[in-house]
Amino acid sequence: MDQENKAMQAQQAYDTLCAALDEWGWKYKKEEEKLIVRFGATGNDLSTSFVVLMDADRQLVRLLGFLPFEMAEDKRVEGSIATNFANYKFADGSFDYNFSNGKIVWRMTSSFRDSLVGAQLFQYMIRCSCSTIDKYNDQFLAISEGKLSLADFIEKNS
Amino acid sequence: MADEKDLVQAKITFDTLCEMLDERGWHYKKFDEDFSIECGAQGDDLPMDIRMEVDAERMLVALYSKLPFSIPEDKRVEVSLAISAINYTMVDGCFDYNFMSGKLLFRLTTSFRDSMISTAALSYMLSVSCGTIDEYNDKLFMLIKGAMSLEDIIKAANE
Repeated sequence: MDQENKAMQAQQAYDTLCAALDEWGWKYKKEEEKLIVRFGATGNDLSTSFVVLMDADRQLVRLLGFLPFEMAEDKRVEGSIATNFANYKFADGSFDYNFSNGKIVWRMTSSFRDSLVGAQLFQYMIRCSCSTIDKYNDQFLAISEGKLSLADFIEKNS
Repeated sequence: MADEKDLVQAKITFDTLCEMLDERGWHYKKFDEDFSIECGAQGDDLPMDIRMEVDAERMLVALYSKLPFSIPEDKRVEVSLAISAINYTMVDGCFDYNFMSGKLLFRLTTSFRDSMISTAALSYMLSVSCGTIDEYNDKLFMLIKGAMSLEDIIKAANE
């Protein structure tokens, strides 16, 4: 697929996403030149900032959710084991974990390569991401703060 | 439970998947009853078993590949850190690692909810997965055998 077609398809997907967000009444910031939208969401406990971008080159919708804390230095190994353990249960999406700085980022992607993508796809991605992050973010924070042991996390999520 | 409309869409997606595989000359086993296929690929080093499923309830196409070795207990922490380093550099797909059992698999998904997925998208899933698995399966095997260090894996992932 040539670059022009790729760019057009990415723009189409981006327009569908923005139209969907408008229809649902979501507040978001648009960075049209980069085909990015940014928004925040607060679950039961913690807030998460989200970025959704249309990657024209790879022809992917890329949703990233940035958890609002870093794993404490003395809990970095636990953070790796816990995020991997959580990921093993998922049908879609994953927590990416940076051992060096303790940052946790939720990632979910879907391809629009040569495909027509509808509004409900974006609704699914956002809803699934919000509920999964909401389920786990306070647990990861509790591990970091020493309030939840790794063994208890594994038992709770087995 | 998937409704009839979802099942119809899943069937269309499954047919598109099989069409893609046929067009590209892949040999595969077809399981119509659960909209899945199994095939294999040989990379540079280790063989790759691939399973692709069209999940009518979740409206997802999922590709799974179990790595052909388990992680021994004394290497489980190291591998966890390696997997975290590898996954953090990925744009699409991830290695799923069960610390308790030592099992490792690669997973990549795409949604067909409210969407028409093309053969090109499904072909992309297969080629990216094979490329990524082939890149790392031997490195992870060498890590557990002590032939490669965690630092080597982290360096390779960041290149």
